[in-house]
Amino acid sequence: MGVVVTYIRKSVLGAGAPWTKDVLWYARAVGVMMKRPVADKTSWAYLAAMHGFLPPLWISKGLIKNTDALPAQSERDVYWNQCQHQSWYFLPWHRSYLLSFEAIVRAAVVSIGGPADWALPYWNYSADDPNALKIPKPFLDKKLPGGNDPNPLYIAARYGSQVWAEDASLVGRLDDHDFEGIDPSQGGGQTGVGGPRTPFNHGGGYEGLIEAAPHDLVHVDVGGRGGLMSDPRTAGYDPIFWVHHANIDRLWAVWNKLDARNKNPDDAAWKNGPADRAFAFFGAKKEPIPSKPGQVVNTLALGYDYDDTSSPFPPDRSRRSARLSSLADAAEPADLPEHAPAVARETELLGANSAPLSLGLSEAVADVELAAKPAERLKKSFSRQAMLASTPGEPDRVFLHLDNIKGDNGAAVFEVTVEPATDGGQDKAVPVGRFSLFGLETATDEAGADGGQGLNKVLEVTQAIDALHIDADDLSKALRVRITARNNVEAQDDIVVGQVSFTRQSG
Amino acid sequence: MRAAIAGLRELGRGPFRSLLAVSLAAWAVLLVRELADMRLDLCLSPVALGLTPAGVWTAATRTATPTVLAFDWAVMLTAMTAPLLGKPLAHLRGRSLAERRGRAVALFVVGHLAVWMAALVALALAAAVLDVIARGRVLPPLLVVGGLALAWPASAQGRRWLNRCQLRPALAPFGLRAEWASLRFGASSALVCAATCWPLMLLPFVAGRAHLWVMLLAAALILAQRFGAMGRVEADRPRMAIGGAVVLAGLALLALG
Repeated sequence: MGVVVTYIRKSVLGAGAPWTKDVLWYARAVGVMMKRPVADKTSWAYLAAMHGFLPPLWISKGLIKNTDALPAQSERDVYWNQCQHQSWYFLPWHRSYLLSFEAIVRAAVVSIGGPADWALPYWNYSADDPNALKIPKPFLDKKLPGGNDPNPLYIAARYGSQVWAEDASLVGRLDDHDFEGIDPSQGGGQTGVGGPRTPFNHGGGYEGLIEAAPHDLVHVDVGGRGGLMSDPRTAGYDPIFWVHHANIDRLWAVWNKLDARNKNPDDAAWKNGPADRAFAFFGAKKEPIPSKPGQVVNTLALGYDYDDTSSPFPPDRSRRSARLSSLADAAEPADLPEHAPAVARETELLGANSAPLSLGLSEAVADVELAAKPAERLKKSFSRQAMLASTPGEPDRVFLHLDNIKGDNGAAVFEVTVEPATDGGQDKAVPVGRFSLFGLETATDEAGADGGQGLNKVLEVTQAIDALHIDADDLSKALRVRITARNNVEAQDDIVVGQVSFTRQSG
Repeated sequence: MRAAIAGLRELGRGPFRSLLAVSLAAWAVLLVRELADMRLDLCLSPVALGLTPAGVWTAATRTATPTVLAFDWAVMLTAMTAPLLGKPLAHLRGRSLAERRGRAVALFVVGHLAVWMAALVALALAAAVLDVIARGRVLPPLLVVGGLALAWPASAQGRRWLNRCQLRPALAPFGLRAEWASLRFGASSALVCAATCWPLMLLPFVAGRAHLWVMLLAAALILAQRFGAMGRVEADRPRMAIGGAVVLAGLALLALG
């Protein structure tokens, strides 16, 4: 049976940019919604609070006044502070959230004479376009085009100017075929494209690949230090949040389309949503709309599509074959089939450091001792035998864990390198990526929803281990991790990593 | 309860699914002892048994040695709290070197039981005090503790303790520090658990001869709370008010004598 797609979400960089038709009507509708009282379900503030809300923070940022009437506590318990992060519900929750938001904005668009087929634009900062990384001009102009009316898309509390190129890169973000990751708290490192299995999770824990980057990094690149976008409790109030998340939603659709193995979870625990607190969304008439993850797996079935869900990669690119090619000294890539068979993945801790690590403007260094037996198992995985299709099929993947990160600046971004913990090891340092601390304040709050657990970050460092293996044909007894401030970090920041560790994962 | 069932199902698919079997086995032991009239003596009203507070300990150790008491309490703890240990143990397992995982789990259990045993002594003493004040009546202490069981989890402080049940601390990986970390994690886990659930754990102690059935109810409520109410921050004032009213009713009955 054919699906009728009514709404096409288009790029903000598309025809008519910078002020495309959809962006202009978006701006006008936002203005209408911002005038509605907080307790109105279709008001700007109400929709933003569904993502995150904290009264003193909102008042201090001028988003509400302390005299504003809020919805009843019982209503807030259902609809507000719902956003799902560090969870396999991250993608489907935000999809339902966007559906709800888009329907309400569309109704506002129509109410002021706009088109009935209006759809939410998306900001593709990864596009091959010289303007892609810059914050789109409609969000920077203080006036609407052609007049003197203030532009509702402009927010003063947005201190970034553009997305860093490496933050927008999709390399390594869409390669895994698994939506659900191995729960790192059970020893693994691969967090999956969608994230780890959790109950209702407002924050805290490990995040999936798309959430870690580009999602988190774009939030803090755009928000800057103290900006609304840099804190999940205020991010939904910035109009740019929605075009950012439309792109994140698009990336989910891109991933599904990239490879037949890229499937969403079939597990009832995912499809039905969390058992401990149901997601709750509504349409333009405040009627309930699809809120369970299983109901939002297909954008076409929901009546919308994106103008571009093509692969952002060259056609012959594959993580596994690229990796095996780089290990040419250990195997002849032509001998090995493209896809290794599915095997039960063995995961284990390789080693960890023994003291908390303070992060700041100065470089932070942690030496991580590797336990002898797991390190031996890692080394053995580089044999030609281990790379046969009948065995795991490739050497172990290795992950760096930064756990229980606590602090007071969620906008901070750090770069990470890994090297042997020996004299001269820095000459062999390999960059392994970067991380942002979006959500840090909430995760650190001991009175918060996850008890002050802090944030956990996972970076895949397989390429560093591969390089160390090829270069020295031996892995050190210890690895050195260097963490360097990149942006939004200041001397007074108090950020501590509880533990630095490595895990290996076979297969 | 839907969340509790989902939580138990999650436990059933994880590496510690045997905790469910262990818990059921412990419940079976409790039931057999109850049916065979071999009651858990410290759950019974010392006043109803005609004992003075000073005579409680003598009678208890005459009818049940410290070893038997410890065994009974360990069985009760296993029945009621084993299903809650799936996630902490999974964290411990994942963050321990493979060669010492078994030892890490054993040390966690030792630390966990040790703290809970101490907590149970405190709860038993509190129950004995209530029993003396109530002069052997069951209803007034039951109302007081039942009201606390309603109000505490609904309070901001109670919710804070519940949310701390999610804490997964960094664990030292090597040597004696690793062994100590496992023991300490077990102990801290029990401390948070006791601070969260103490009114519900106190309920069976004041339930008189219905203690086993109240224990079952308390266990179900603890599961519902752990799997269904995590992550909430603001106090539930209406529920606190109801709990408070029940406490006051119990205190009034105590005062009326």
